[in-house]
This record gives sequence, C-alpha cells and structure tokens, in this order.
Amino acid sequence: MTLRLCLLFLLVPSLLHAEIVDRIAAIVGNSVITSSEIMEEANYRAYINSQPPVDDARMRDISFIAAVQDRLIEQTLLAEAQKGFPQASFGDESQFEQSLQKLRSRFPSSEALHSDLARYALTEEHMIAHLREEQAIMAFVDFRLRPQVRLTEDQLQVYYQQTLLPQLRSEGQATLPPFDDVKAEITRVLTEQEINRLLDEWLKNLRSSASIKILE
Amino acid sequence: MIPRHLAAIWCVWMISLVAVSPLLFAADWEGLPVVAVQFQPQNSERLLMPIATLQELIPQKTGQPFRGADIRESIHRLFATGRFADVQADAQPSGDGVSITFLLKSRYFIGLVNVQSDVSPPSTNQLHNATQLRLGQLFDEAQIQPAVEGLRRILEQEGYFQPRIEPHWQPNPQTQQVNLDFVVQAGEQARIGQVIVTGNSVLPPQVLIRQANWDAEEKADSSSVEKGLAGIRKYYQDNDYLAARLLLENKQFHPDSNRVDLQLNVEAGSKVLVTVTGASVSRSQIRRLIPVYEEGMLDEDLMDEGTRNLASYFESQGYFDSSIQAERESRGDDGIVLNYRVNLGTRQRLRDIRLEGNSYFQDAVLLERMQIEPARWTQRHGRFSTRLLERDLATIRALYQANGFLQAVIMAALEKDSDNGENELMVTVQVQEGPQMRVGNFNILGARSFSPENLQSLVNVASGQPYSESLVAADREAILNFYFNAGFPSASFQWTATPSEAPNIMDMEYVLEEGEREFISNIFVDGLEFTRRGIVNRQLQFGNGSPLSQSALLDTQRRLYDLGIFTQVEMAIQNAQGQERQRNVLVYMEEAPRYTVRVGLGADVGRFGGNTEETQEVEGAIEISPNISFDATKINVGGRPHTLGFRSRFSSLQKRSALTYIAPRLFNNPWLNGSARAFFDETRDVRTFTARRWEGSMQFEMKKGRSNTFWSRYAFRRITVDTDTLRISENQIPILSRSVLVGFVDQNWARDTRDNPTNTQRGSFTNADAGVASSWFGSQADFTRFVFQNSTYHLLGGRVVLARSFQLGLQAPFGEGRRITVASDGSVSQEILTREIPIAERFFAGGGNSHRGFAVNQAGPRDPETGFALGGNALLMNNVELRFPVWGNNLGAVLFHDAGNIFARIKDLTFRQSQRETGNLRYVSHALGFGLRYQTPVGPIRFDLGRHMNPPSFFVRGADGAMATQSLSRWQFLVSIGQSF
Repeated sequence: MTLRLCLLFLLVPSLLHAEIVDRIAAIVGNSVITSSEIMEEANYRAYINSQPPVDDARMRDISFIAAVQDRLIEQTLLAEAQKGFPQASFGDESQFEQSLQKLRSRFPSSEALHSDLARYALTEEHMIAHLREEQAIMAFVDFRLRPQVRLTEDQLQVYYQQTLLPQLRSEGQATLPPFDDVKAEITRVLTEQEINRLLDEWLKNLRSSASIKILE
Repeated sequence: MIPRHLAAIWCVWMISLVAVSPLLFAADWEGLPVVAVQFQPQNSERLLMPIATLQELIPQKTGQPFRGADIRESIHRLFATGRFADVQADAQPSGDGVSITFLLKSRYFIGLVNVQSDVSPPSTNQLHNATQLRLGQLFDEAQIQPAVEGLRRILEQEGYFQPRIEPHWQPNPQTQQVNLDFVVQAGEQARIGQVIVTGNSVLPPQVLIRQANWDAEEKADSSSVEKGLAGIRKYYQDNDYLAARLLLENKQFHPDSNRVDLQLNVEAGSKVLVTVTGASVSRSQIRRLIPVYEEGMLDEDLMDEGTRNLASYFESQGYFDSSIQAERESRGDDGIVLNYRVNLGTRQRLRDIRLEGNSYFQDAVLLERMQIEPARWTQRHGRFSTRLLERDLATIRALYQANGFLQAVIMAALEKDSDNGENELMVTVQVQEGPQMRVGNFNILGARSFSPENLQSLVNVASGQPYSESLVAADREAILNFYFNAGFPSASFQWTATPSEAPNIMDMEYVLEEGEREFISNIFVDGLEFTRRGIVNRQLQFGNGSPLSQSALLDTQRRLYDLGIFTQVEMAIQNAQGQERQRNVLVYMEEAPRYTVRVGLGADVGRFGGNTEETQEVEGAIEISPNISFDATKINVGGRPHTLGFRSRFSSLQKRSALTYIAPRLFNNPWLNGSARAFFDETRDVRTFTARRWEGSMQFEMKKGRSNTFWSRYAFRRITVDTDTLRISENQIPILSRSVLVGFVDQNWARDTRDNPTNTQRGSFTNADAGVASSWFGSQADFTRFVFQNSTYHLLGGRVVLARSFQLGLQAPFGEGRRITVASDGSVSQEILTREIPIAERFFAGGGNSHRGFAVNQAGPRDPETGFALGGNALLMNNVELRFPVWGNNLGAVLFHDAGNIFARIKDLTFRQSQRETGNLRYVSHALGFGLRYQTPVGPIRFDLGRHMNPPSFFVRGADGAMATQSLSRWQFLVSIGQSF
C-alpha cells in the first residue's frame, strides 16, 4: 500500500509535464490571435506605460485578459481593412525612427535596453514590430477618417466659447486669447475628437460585420 | 483502505502541484532542440491533409531549436489552411530536447442539404436556396437557425404560417463533411382574410379589392397574391393612372381562423395621358412603343426611351429624318399629358450603300457589319438613321483598328439620288485605311510549367501579325483560361508594347506569373441511392493527384447530367477560401424520380376513313380520329443510366404499344448507344388494308462528331394483313394476305447540320439507309432496300427561307422467293412461288410529310380492280418550300411545290411529267400549294392546302361489275405539327 502511494506521488508530476505552449485564443474573420500574442501585447503595454511586467496572476485576471484581447481584436480588424488598400503604404519612416531613437536613448547601452526588455519577455525585434504596426494602423486610420471630418465655423466658436474660455478662466488666466489666435489649435483638438468618435463608430461596424469567436 | 493521514497528505500534494505547476513546469523551452514535431487530431477524425504537407508548411521543424515565434507562426499557417477550427501546440521534454505536438480540431464543411417538404410550391430548389447553405462552405452550427428562418420565410410566402421544421445534421469525420436534413411539415395553408388599403388610392378601395378577384377561400400563396395585385395594377392602367404604385406592406396572420390579412399601400399618382401629334399612330402601337405603360412609372429615362422607340418605328417606315420632341404638361387634377410631337419629314428610301477606299477588307465583310440596309422587297424603304450610321462607322473603325490600322478614318457622305427622284437616298462610306501597324519582336516570359511553344499555340499575336489590343485581350483570356484549367488559379497576365525603331512596328511582350499550382487530393461523392458508383466514376474527368481544373469539373458535371438519371449535380471545392494546395472536390447528386407515368389525349385530323364497302371511297374521307396514350418509364435501371419504357397509343386509326430498353454509353463510350424494342402495331392509315405488326428489334447508335450518326439495326417482325380489310383484286388476296416473317438488317447514316431541327433556317440533313431482309436473318421474304434523303435550308434574307428536299427509295426482291399455298376455285390448293415484297413493307407516300397533292399514303400504283393504293418498290420525291414570316414571330406561311410518285418496280421509275393513259400511273405527279405555320413551344402547327396539278386517273370496277374511270381529287387540306421536312 505504501509503495503504491509512493508511486502515485511520483507519477502525478510526470502527468503534468506536457504543457500547452501556445494556442488560438480568438478567431477574427480569417485571422487568429494566439495566447502568446495576448501575453506579448500585455507586456508591451506594460512596458511603454512603465508598469511592472505582467505576471501569471495578472494573466489569470479575466477582465485584464479580455481588455488586451479586445485591443488585439480591434488591431486585427483594422489590419484586415487595411488590406483593401494594397497599393498604399502607411506609416511614416522618419516618425518610426524617431520613436525608436527615443526608446534607445533611455538606456546607456543596447545591452541595458535588451536587459530591460527581457524583464518583460520582450526583445528589440518585438518592440520594432509593435512600433511599426502601431504607426501603420494610426496612419491608416488617419488616412480613412480625416477626410470625413467636417468642422463648421459654428462648432469652432462653440468650443471656444463654451469649453476653452471657461477652462482658461478656471486656470486663472487673466488675458484670454482671441478666437483667431487659437482657431488652429481648436481645429486640431476637435479634429482629433471627431476622428476618435468616427473610429469608435467604425470599429463598432467592423465588429458587427466580422465573424469573431473567442475560444478561451 | 487508504489511511486517512496519507490521503490528506496526497490531497495537499496535488493542490500544491496544480497551484505552482505553471512556475514549476513553465520550462524555458526557448532554444532547446526539437526532437519531434507531431500532428494529432483532437477527435476521432482523419487528417485529410498529409502529414508531410503539414510539416512542410510550418516554420518550426524537427532538429531545429524551439522558438516561440516559430510556434506562433506555425499556428497561424495551420489555421490559414482553412482546415482547422482550433490549433494548440503542446510541448513535452524528450531526452535532451523537446517534443512538440500540434493538436488539430478539424473544421467541417457543408455537404448534402436535403429539404423534405410535404407541399409544393415552394419547389425543392426554392427551399434549398432559402437555407443559404452551399455545398463546400464552412459549416457552423450557428447557421442552422438562420436556415430554418429562411425556410419559414419562404413557406410564409406560400401561405404556410405554422410550419414545423426539424433540422438534423450528421458530421462525417472521415470526409469533414456535414450532411443536413430539414424535415418540413407545412401545416394548413392559410386563406386571404381582410384586405386593408392605405395611402392615396384615389379610386375607392372596395373597387380596387374587387379587381384582385380574391374570393373567400383564396389561398394566400404567392401566385394568388401576385395575380390579385396584377389585377389592381391593370385596373389603374386602364384608368390612365400609369404611374400608380402598389406595395404589399404587411401580412397579419390569425392562427385561430388560419387567415392572413393583407395591408396594401397604394399611391395612385396622377393620371397620365400619352398622345402623339404630327403623325398617326394607333393606341396599341403607342402602348407598345412608350415604355411608361410597361414600367408603370414616368421619368426622364423612360420618356427618352419612348422617343427612341418612336424614332425607330418611323425610320422603319422610311421617315429617316423624323424629329420627335417629348413634352410633359401637368394639368392639375386632370393629370399629366405626355405628348410626343412628331415631325416626320420627307419619306425616303435608302437605295444603295457604296464603299470607297477599302482594300484590306472587301465590301461584303464591311457590309455585313452594318445595320443600315438598302431597300429590298422585305423592307421597302430600307433601314437608315443618322444614329445607326454613326454606329456603323464606329463598328468599321473598330474593325480596322483591331487589324492594326490605328489611324483609319471612316466617314460617310449622304447623297440624294437625283436619277430617281429626291426621295431616294444613297450612302457612300469613305475609308482611309492608313498604314497598318504590325508586331515586331514578340516574347512570352514567366512561363515555368509550360514551354513557350505550348503557349504560342494559344495566342493570336505573332511577329508580323497586325497589332491589335483586342487580340491581346483575347490572348489574355486564352492564356489565363489555360492556366486556370491546368491548376493555377492565381495566374496573372501583363503585357507591354514598345514602338520599334522601324516604322509601323510594335515590339510586344507577355509577362506571366503562374502562382502556386493546386491539385486534387480527395474526391467525395454523395447522394447515390440507386446508381452504381462505377457509373459516376466513369464520368469523372479528373482523379486524385490531377491538377485542379475548372473545365474538367464543368465537363464532369455536363457528363453526369447527360446520363439523364440526375435532377441535380452539384460540384464544389471543399474549403475554397482556405490556403492549401491540395484540394478536395465534392460531387453531390440528386437522383431523378425513377418512375414516370404519362396519360395523353389527342386527335388526328385528315383524310382517313373506315373500311367501307363503298369501293369508290379510295381516298377515304375527312375524319377526326381521337386518340389516348399511356406511357410508363423507369430510368436508372439496375443502377445504370438505362431506361425501360412502355408506350401505348389507342385510336380508331391505330393501336400501338412498345416496350423499349435503352442503354446509352455502352462500355462507357459516349458515342455508342444501344437499344432493344418489342413492338405491336395495328394500323389502318393505308386505306387498302389493316395490318398487325409484331416486331422485336435491336439497334446500336454511334455518334461521330457533332453531325454524323450511324445506326446498325436488326429487326424481326411478323406482319399480318386482315383479309377482310383488303381492298384489292381477288387474285392478289391469297398472296398479299399471308402473314410474313421479315428479318431485316440495315445500316443507317445521318448527317445533320441544321441550326434548329424543329424550325430550320440554315444547314442540311442527309440520310441514307441500306438494308437487307434474308433467310439468314430468319426472314421469309428476301429483299434489299435503299433509301436516300437530302434536305437543305437557305436563309435568303430577313426571315425568308428556301427549303428543299429530295428522296429516293428503292427495294427489290432477290432469291427464289417463298412458297405459299393458295386455294384456287375455293377447293383445290396449290403451291406457288412468289417473290412479292409484302404489302406492308412497300413504300407509301402522300400526305403532309411527303406529297401534299395526295391524301395520306395515296400515291403510286393502285389495284386494277378496286382502285386502292398498293404502294410500290420505288419512291421518288422532291419538295421545295419558300417559308416566310407573315406577322410577328409566330405566324408564317409557305409556298410549296411537291413532285414525285411511288412506282411498282425500280424499272418503272421515270421522269415523265404527265399520265400517258388511264391506269398508267408511271409518271411524276405535281402539286402546288400554300400553307400557314403557327409557332408553338413544341414546333409549328401546320395548315396546308395543296392542289394536285396532274392527278391520276384509273379504273375501278363498280358495283355493277363494269369498269369505270375515277380520278383522285385535286385539293387536299392537311393539318399537322412540325414542318413537312
């Protein structure tokens, strides 16, 4: 009996030895998102937001995983939409180089950078790929949505009167700038807001028309 | 029994293992050597993709270091094949390295979709389409409910609001296919209840509802509803509300009464009155030419179309310069007046079209491409307008450019023909061809799988040929079709043209990108219940491992349909959206109902007649003979594309039944068909006698190409003539009344190039038949027979056709003859030798399908005593018809001339045109006549009136025993279906 129990104690660890190293977590149209991609995305977000690396406990937080997964689903939907414009290339190379340089300049050497990234199970190649992808998607979104933004003079005036001036007053600013001086800035702000709104709508449409299946 | 303290320790040990297992066993696999990569299905499925293909596909290979990125990419690529719904990568230590297993959950694809319904309509096809489930598409259980909803919607359209629909599906792990069954019990069909009219109907709703003619028990199916709506629309049109809008907005079903209320939204719009001023056009023509009536709306496009239609109409009458202005006037409550103001101009006639300056193309080539036409007897004014002329000039210009004359200039000059009055018009088309651009150097690049010589045979472009972009377009299609049918679905084609240094020379290049080649991995066949699998296999034009070819699939589908045993043949590629090079082909069939029974009623009209005692009625009398027919057929006999049929027909004129077995595609040769027949016939279409025939025959048919067919036949028959019905001299009765066994072998050849066998305008038909009846084949009478026919059809212009046909038939006895015993003087029997060909085997002619100067089968020799037709051993017939339209597409007429006769013996054949003396019937009879033809879906109904120009006169023994002279009637009236030849 004792011998059988000892054998049972020894056997169980061997049964637990096979490990799932990766699998499909979600299917978006004809593309898939794997568990490793979710993990990598979570660590990438943590890195660029200067948060601690994602540990196993955090990976078991369902709401956290769902949020990361949602972000990846949206990226996939936008990447699929981008395929409809094969002739166009999106992303500004100089801007990408600037972002990469900014990242590298935070460390005294490339070894220090790599060591820091390794804490997040990331490599420089991972970072480059993520940066490029982000830039391309942002450029594509801008390409698609900016032409749809139509701001009227009334809208600019309303923002100036009802949002900007009260804000400046509440900050204690004595001299309030005239409308013409801040018109360009107001236009920029409202354009960004409108693009975000259009993006939300667009993503909603993409989600409703796409086939999305969560497997885990 | 486990001690309690040990059980507690074990539980704690297990819990801690599970809690820390990710940390304890999250080995850093990265960089470890991969000793094995395996693929395992998650369920008890067969992996349809070969392991070697999967291993080649993925970046993580055996013997290489483990890389998380490679594992991820492997999962992506495995999913992209489209074969797998889920992919999981497991790793396990193995020696010094790691063993990787990809667990694969297969996707399923839609197979047979069977909808069994207890009602029709909707038809099986409609129900199938309503499910939106297509063969070979990805299957997901989430598709079932929408399919059921689709069925529900289409059943509601036919008035079934409470159906029970039960879906069942059965996945097949071996083929990754799912067959689906929907069992539909439609329930009781609803009736139309209340009809509510909303909107601005103008006319009283009760009046409108009456126009729909829906009675209290009217079924609420689509045809009844549509018919009712059509009635309401017509009522609005008749009351000049041409733009009225009618919409069935809603159907409200009441389960307790099983009735459905209809809500109609009606917008009457304004009354519209269409007038034409400045020219006389009938109301019916206005309704035909102005599309406002047909479309039920009034807009600018339709008004312009009406203007164009009127212009074409006046042009056809010779008003080439007519101008038409459409004016729309609103008259408030009185509606809208749409007036076409016409200025006809001078009536003209296009006398001639001349061509100048053309040398590369002859006049005939250019003229046949032109729509303007000079006047002729079928088109008195010709066909002309400036619009048509501009189109013709553009057509000629395009023709020149397509042949390398890129700078061709085509212009036209109009002249009044002063020699024939100012209303005669002449068009001169002036062609300046310019230099012809030719192809210089020509190369085809990028072809890896086929030699350039192979591809060269497909293309039109070659060095020295005229340069033409339209030829390039044709070449592109030919090359891409070739590649698509050789298994390269993503082949692409680009071309360049560069002016050479030499003048008028263009160097050209075709650049091809073949892409990946796809092959057939598996062929899944389903839907066979009675049919043998081998029958289907023999029609497949592809096999495992062959390139995926669209033309082979279509050819297979056509061959399977040609078997005649399937109502539906569906072919699809499984997982068509997936990225794999090895494809599974799905072949799904629906077998046709095997048994068919038909009952028919009809009538024959013609000069027939009962066998009366009155011998003067040699031609018979006009009679209607009603008939009833019964047919039963079984197809797919023994699982083969064979047919067993029974056909019978009963009338006062004829009793006939036949049992037939047809075996097409003998030994899988599509050009070889066999058939066997057992046949009984009792007919009195020959006035002289009534004959009974029992016959068994076998026939082999060989098709050689599209036009030529050969038949080899053996027939064995016994013909008995009813002595009581024989209207011949007494001394002939013993001979001709004997039943005779005839064993006949013949060979037949037919060449058919007619464009349409039921209503031919072009082509020819030639038929030759040679046969022999001999004791070697069991025949009691020995004779040879030869029959030849040649018909040709010529389209003269418009729809006028000149048709002609020539027939020659010869037969002659041979050998010693047969011995028969006859009784002479009523008591003494004697044996005589006779070589007479039995009367039922002789040639007969006369009637609608041979000589319209005679009644049916009345041509040729006659009995010297009774005057009844005896038939003969030689046939000579020539027919000429001029067929032309009379009114529209359905009513036509013919003028005909039939000439010929039947002769007793071959040596009696003559071309003499008149009868030498009474009783001498060796001459050619002529008939002229006129006929009407009315087109029906089954062919033209024919009414012919023929006048015999030189009818025969002959002797007949009267009741008083004296010989009298009798002539056949001059006029024949014949009715039938189909052309005479």
